[in-house]
Amino acid sequence: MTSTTVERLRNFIGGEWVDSQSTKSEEVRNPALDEIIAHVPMSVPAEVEQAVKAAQEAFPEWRRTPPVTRARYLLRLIELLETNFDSLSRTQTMEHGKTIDESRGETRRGIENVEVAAGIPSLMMGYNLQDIASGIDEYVIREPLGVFACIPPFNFPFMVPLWFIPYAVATGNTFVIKPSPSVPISQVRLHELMDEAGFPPGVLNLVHGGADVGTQLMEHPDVKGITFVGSTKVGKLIYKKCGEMGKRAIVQGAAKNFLVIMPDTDVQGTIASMLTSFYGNAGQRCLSGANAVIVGKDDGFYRSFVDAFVDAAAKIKVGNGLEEGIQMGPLQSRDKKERVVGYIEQGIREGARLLLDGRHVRIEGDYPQTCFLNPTVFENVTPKMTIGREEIFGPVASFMRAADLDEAIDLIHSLPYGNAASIYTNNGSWAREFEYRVQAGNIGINVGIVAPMAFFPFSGMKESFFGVLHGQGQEAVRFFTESKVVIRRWW
Amino acid sequence: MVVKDMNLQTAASVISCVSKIEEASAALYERLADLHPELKGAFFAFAKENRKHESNVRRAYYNIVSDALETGFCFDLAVDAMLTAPVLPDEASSLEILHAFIRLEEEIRRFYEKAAAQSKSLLADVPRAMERVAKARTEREKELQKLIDAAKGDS
Repeated sequence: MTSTTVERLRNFIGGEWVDSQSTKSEEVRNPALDEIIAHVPMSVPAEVEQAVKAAQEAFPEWRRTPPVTRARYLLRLIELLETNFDSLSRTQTMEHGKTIDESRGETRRGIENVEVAAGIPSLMMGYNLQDIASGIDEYVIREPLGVFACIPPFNFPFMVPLWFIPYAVATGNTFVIKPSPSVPISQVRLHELMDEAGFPPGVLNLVHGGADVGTQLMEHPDVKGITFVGSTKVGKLIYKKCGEMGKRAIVQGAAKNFLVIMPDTDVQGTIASMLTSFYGNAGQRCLSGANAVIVGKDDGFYRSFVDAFVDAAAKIKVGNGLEEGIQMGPLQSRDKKERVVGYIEQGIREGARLLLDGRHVRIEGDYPQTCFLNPTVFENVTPKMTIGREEIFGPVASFMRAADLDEAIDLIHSLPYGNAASIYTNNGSWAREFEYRVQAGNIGINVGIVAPMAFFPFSGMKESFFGVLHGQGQEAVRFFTESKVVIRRWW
Repeated sequence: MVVKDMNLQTAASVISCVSKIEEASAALYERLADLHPELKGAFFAFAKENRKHESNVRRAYYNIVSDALETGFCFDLAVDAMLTAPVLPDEASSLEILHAFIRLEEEIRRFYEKAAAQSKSLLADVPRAMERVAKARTEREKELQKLIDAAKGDS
């Protein structure tokens, strides 16, 4: 495929697909093939302005549309998403690199959010009390606010925006998204289906671009709130700016998640779960396991567990995610691979023991090695080391030891993040203690990827989350609406 | 075309294998039904049932698939190539065919039982769907045995 035949993606503004006026584009590459599959324009400020204006103009009419009618657009969208399920999944694999199982999982989780949001007539109900004083009633209405924007990450090109978009529009707001320029195609396909579902022009808008487009959206006076998933460093800046401007914000930041293995655990099930946690999505996930802590002083158990894990990790089939037998795809780009390689080298320099070296790339099939890494395993890691402390965002597992559960929990709390933490045990008392004390927003008990279902909030604490309300479910409905209190008396 | 034996680890590959197994065995039942009118009714019913099994297992997978599940690491299945491309000679007698089908159904049942056991508690509703198909295969073996007994009685 030559670059002249590759699609230049378009913006979706005011119900129209429009070619960007910008002369600047970036390449969108299939990381497994190391081939260009699209060009994404770096939109100019005027286009961002047009998108926000279109959303603002669509808001009054959309806000007056009854919730049950707004829900029906979502029901139509669900039908289209199900019909295009495999095609949407394949698109995610082609632009991100994840396996087809993982892409299908992402598609399913995305659709679940649309399903939950379609229940908006019930979800958006307020509450009331008659006769707060004789003849005087009081009630609460939930109202939409206006235009919201989303700056999503690269690692879940289809799903993460759906933590927010369906709830925003179901509650009567309008929306502008700036997809990640690394993986914009999934959002283009989603918006094509939203267009086909018949949403009125301007309710949903898509503008491609880089950080400057995100900044413009964040600073735009007509944008009432921002939803962001990305690094803690950028997330803090966004949250601070939104605070200064009086905007709402959901800001999901970085993570360094611990998996705590108690000595009574079911070893086989735990290892399968940990493999998914560390190496699913090639480790490019805010819920990925990062540090595994084996609890107890039994050296025999430690050694046999780690050896079994390394043995299983070494057998993982790495390759093109479109092939059904592949268990781990490439990193999303060459840059991301090189960043992970840098961490591996740092781990070696800082004295961690390398048990499995993912830099020795073995791919199933004849594919360029550009973005591929194999699973890596370290032991003797501490939270003081770079690899034990910083988010690697790649297929690297670091093993630590703790004498008891208290020490394991202290290890977790020694880091500033609080996205997820899991314990593997058959002991209810240990599990409850873990659940009770650990400061992480998503807690797993014998679950390695603590991904909340769409009807629960995607939580997060400490440096992993900034905000009050989270994406998904009822919290998203509250985020996208304001409470208006009415006290009423009739003469 | 030579179909090689397969070693399956991922949910996607197992679901594809289920499709191949059910479609190949359904097509075989239908082909032999045309050659053996005395078995036509039963064989066409089996073929229809096979496609329903495929649809049920596939639907279970698509309904629950999630990146949070251990879809990449829940199986370690060695699959005989014969399961996805079963061969029975046209000239075989009814009895020979029925015996061959019982053996095939046993192999298919064992595939589902093993797949369900391996993925139990890792793949939500999928192992249960597979257990139901395995149970249905046990009933199928009994029906085939009845057909064998009837065929022996006639001869």
